[in-house]
Amino acid sequence: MKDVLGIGLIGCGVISKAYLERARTFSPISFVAVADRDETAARRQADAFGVEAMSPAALLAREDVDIVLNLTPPAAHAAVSTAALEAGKHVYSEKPFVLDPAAGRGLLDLAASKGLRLGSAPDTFLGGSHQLARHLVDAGAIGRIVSGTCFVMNHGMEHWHPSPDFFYRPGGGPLFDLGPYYLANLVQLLGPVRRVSALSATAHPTRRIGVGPRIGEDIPVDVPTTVQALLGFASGTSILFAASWDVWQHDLAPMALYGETGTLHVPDPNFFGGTVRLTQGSEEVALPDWDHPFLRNNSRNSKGPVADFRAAGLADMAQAIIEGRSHRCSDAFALHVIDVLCAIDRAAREDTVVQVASGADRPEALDGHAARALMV
Amino acid sequence: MHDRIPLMGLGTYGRLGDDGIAAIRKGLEIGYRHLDTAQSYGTEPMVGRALRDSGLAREDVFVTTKVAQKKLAKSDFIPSVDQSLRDLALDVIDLVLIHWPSIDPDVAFESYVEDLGKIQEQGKARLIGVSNFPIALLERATAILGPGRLHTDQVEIQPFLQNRRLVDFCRSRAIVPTAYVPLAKGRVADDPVLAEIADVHGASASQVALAWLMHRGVAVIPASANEARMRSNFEAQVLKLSPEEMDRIAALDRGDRIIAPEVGPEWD
Repeated sequence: MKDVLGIGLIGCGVISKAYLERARTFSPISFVAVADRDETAARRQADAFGVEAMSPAALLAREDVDIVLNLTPPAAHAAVSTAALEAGKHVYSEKPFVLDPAAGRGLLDLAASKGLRLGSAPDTFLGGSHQLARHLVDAGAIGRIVSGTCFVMNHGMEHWHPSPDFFYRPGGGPLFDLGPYYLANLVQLLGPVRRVSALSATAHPTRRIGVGPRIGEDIPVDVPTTVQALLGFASGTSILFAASWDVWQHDLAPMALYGETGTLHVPDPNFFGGTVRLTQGSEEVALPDWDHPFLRNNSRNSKGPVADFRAAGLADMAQAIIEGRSHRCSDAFALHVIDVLCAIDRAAREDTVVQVASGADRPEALDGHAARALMV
Repeated sequence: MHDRIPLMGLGTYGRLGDDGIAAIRKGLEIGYRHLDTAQSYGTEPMVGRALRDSGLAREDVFVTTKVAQKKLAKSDFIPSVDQSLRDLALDVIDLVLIHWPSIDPDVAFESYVEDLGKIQEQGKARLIGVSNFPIALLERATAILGPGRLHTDQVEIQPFLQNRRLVDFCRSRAIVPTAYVPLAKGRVADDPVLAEIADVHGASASQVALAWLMHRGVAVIPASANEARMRSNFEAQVLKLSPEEMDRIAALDRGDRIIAPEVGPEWD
């Protein structure tokens, strides 16, 4: 029985480096090959990380590839994942793994019929801070959760990404690009969403690229860039959620849950770490001892040190395959998140309350002990 | 029989399955006589198989493996080394390292360092060492094992992160430093100083970086699946750098760490 599964990465764009740099972090995965339609991009990452570069078709034919890591642009996710499943490979996809729930159900059925696993980012909800929040929710630290707020608002992606076009096409926008991090964390904390209502807007018809070889070029905006939604969870909790790329500055916290007996302040689900705060009544309460490896600042972004354990969900899926248990960043969980995002999109477009058809079990909690078991 | 770690080795991370066995065999054909694996790479069976298929005498090839961070508990350490022996199909492993210091608060440092000593006393490892240990932990381990026991400390060393305090400390204790990511994930290829030195020698910047490390007494274990790259890395052994060239490379240090310390200690 193998205890390390071979990973074949398809899509050598910006995000591939973040995955390859975590190669030595997690024990059940090993990168063996990379592929891209652009051979130069594949060759660059192969040389940098000591793996082989090849065509996507050759990668799918490799016997040492157990899991295909699909990092292609969102619009290509479903086709690449389908080809990988057809080739008999497990698949872990960047989010969103499909652009609509019907395509998602098709992929789930294909994976199930072949006895293969399908998983999807985001995996930031496995971060040490979000798992502490999960522990506190499960322990009843704020009682029954009545309501909450969740905000992800900034001024977009074109100022830092050299090819930001896909952010402003269907499958992108703040709802589909950033929404998965926030919705996934809400669903792991609160369970499935049952119904949504929403309003949306687009502030600018075009965006101007701010870096790279295409600097100064205007690109079209084909998606809403501001979305405000009200989410009704099956548990009875209601959450006010806003995602926008039309906001220059604001003072709102990324996530807060209001319970019968207190408030849980949850850090930004775009990251694995950050400060969790608990208040009961109006008093700040000391947090329990929480030794979790996915809290450690191991990377930097423009705002300073951050904990980045991207690929934790992939490692968990590999370990789940080895152990014959279910994986946390599962296809059913990801499908529910996409179902909710599409419901928000539709609610805004049709000016109606949309019922969410799918449900999802909350993924198993990942405490420090379970997280350490995934590491080298 | 190698009584010291050969300065040139082949990293085997990512060499899984039959393709992995073929790549490692190719490395042995090129001339590599030092294979670096780890429990967490999943490549111990491929190293064992490539070694058997190569027809080389056992004593000609130096094999290093590493005990995984999650196998450091008392109940897991020695059984995991027994499993490595089975996976490698060897009677003794030339060098066994602790891969990372434990991040589990329930696993005591003393326990796994003592177990490392035991596997050498039991003849399961000829030499023992550590990986990702800063000076403070090398000192603690030496206090437990006694002086002269640790053979290597495998850490990130490359032109942009030269780790001089640690390298000097290792030298003072007869510990051979081993460099992982010696080519800084390809970044050495873009450096103008390395390129200039490489041009003088008709070599590549990567070869210059490897030669610089070996000149400093640092073992290197570059990994590649590409035959031409494996060959070119191996040929870095014939490159002779002048003291002036060594000084120019020394000036490239900027503390630029590639492997972030996510399971690691506080670095020196």
